[in-house]
Amino acid sequence: MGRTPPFVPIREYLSSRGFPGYVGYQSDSEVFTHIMHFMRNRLHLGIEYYKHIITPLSDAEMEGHPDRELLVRIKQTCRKLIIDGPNCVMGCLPDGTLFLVQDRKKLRPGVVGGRPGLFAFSSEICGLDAAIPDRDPHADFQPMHLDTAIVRPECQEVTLCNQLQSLPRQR
Amino acid sequence: MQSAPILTPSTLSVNDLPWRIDWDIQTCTLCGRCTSVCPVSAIELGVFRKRTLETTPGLAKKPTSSFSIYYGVRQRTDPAYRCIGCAMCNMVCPNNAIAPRLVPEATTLKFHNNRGGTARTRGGRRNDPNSLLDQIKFIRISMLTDPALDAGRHEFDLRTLLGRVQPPEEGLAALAEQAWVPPVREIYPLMVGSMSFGALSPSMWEGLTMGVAYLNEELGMPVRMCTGEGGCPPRMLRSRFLKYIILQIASGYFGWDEIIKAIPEMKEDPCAIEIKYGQGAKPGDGGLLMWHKVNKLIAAIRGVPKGVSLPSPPTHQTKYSIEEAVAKMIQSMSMAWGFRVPVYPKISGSTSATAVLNNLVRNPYAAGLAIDGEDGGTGAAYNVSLNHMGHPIASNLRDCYLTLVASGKQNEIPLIAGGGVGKNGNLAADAAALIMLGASAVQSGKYLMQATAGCLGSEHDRCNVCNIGVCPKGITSQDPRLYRRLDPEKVAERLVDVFLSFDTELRKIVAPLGRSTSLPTGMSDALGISDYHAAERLKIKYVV
Repeated sequence: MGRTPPFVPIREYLSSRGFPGYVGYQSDSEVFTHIMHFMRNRLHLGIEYYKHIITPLSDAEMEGHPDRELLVRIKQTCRKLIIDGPNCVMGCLPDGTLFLVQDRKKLRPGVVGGRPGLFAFSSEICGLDAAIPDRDPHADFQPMHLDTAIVRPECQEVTLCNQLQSLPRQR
Repeated sequence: MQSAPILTPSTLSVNDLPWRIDWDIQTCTLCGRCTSVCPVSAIELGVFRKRTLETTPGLAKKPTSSFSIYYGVRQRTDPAYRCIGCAMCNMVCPNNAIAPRLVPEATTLKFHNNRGGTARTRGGRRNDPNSLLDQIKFIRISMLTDPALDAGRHEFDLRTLLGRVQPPEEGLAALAEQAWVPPVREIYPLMVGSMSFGALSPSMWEGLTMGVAYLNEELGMPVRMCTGEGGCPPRMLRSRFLKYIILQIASGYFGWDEIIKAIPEMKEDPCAIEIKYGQGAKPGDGGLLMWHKVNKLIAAIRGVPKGVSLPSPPTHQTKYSIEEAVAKMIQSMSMAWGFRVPVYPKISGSTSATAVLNNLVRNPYAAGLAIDGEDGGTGAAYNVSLNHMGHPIASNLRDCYLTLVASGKQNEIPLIAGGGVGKNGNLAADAAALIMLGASAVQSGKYLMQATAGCLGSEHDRCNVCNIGVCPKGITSQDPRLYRRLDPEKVAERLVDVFLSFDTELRKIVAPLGRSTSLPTGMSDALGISDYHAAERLKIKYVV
């Protein structure tokens, strides 16, 4: 949700990748899905890298990062895919993995919570209350500007991945 | 009564001159400062003979006349000494008794500025105050649909990349294989445009370089400055500040002896190398430094004899085709610095720009393309080239950007736009418009001279004597009596002022569009213009 300010340059960039699926664009939010597809299928990077593409770390934050070289390269080569605007992306990958990422300024609401076997993402806590009332609300988590929240297909826990952490090796 | 003076076809009156001197006899103290400061000797001491008739009513007494002499200031009407409107006379006048006034309807001089068959040369810019860039509005403002970003409080990182950026697949593969990767610099999107040491006075050059160093080292703004074609002072070449400098090579190769000699002693690589093939102010012409300005220092840095005019050839003489001119030269310059320095060509705006660009797309060593539009400035050129040659930057840049989009290379070859950016004082707005039309960075020269050193040039043919070395502000002069007027420290201060305020204004433009950590390059949906045909041509919105 949210508007995607650099929609036109990103759409132009994706459309010029030579992949027939990057078409349509009835809504500017479609660029989020196509960026995800591009990242997974063209660059062979995992979900943990998604936020590094759409909202890369600042140079200062990258300074001491264990994967600095890779992140600098990603920031440079994927510069056209940076999205600054306020948004919160909630998605489901083909294997059933759920994820949530926030924009870098954390201008949008978003929360994840639940219990093993059933997790939900919502923009407000009352949404979680309605969907999974019998969860431990103390474990609810509102991902912040560097976080990616991931619920793997086994649906046992929420994995949090902070952009400052080291990254899994590329596939 | 005296008969009329001898009339020649070029005998003009003050009424034929566009700049007219208003002199007030009541307040003038006859101190003589105005006549001595005038850079073109347009005014001189006037000794006037005045006859006064004394008549009384009635017939009793016959009328008498008396004669007196008074002194004042006379404006010369010889076209060679026409007033250029710089108003230095006014600046030095203790009593504000003298000032030039523009009379646009006086056009006779235009027909007499080619004495001896010499076509008029001058410095400055195309004499046309209109600017399409100024007409472009930023019409996409987030308010309710989105919280807009806060120009004052949010994190902003308005940088751009100079250098060949590989496609993501290649870039990641190169990292994995530890392969060579084209050098890329992260720089501030406003660059100090190419103004040569020689065209500029030592004070001006020193001021600009000090300002650039301060911006980098104290304020963390990676501002870069291009030397223009005229070499680089040897101490700068061997200093750590060289990393803030883009060295230009052009068809005269002036100064490159010194640069090549200095390569083994360089502590830092230069930021980049710009190969100039053309200049927006005078397409089809090479650089020109007239003999007035070639003193001992300039001659030494450029590796030429003193006191000779230095016209660079219109093209690089050793090259004969686009592949030769572009590919080989980029290759050789890259090789000189071990492929660690980005090398990009600069061309004047032209209908052939897309052809050049397509050539660069195929060359993995090409680090970008700088395009200089018709409104660019110069230190010296033929008036006809300045006023009538060249391509407007907006559509030329747009065509090039959309060409890149069509080939999917829009993130790979940065386009650097220049030429008339901020010609009416709207530097940030013009720069932002060019960025949203597709530029990755913007070059400015003339605005910076006006803002940092008080250059008096205007779009009404004011001053424009940069070419003959008499710049009244000492900006483009090689005469120590003139350039001592310019304090390099103050130039540096003003440069810092300009970049800081530019940064604030740029944030004010991009924040409501929702951009903060990446430039809105190509974000054309944010642009509108009330000229239907311009909107169609630039593929932006037509708004009224």
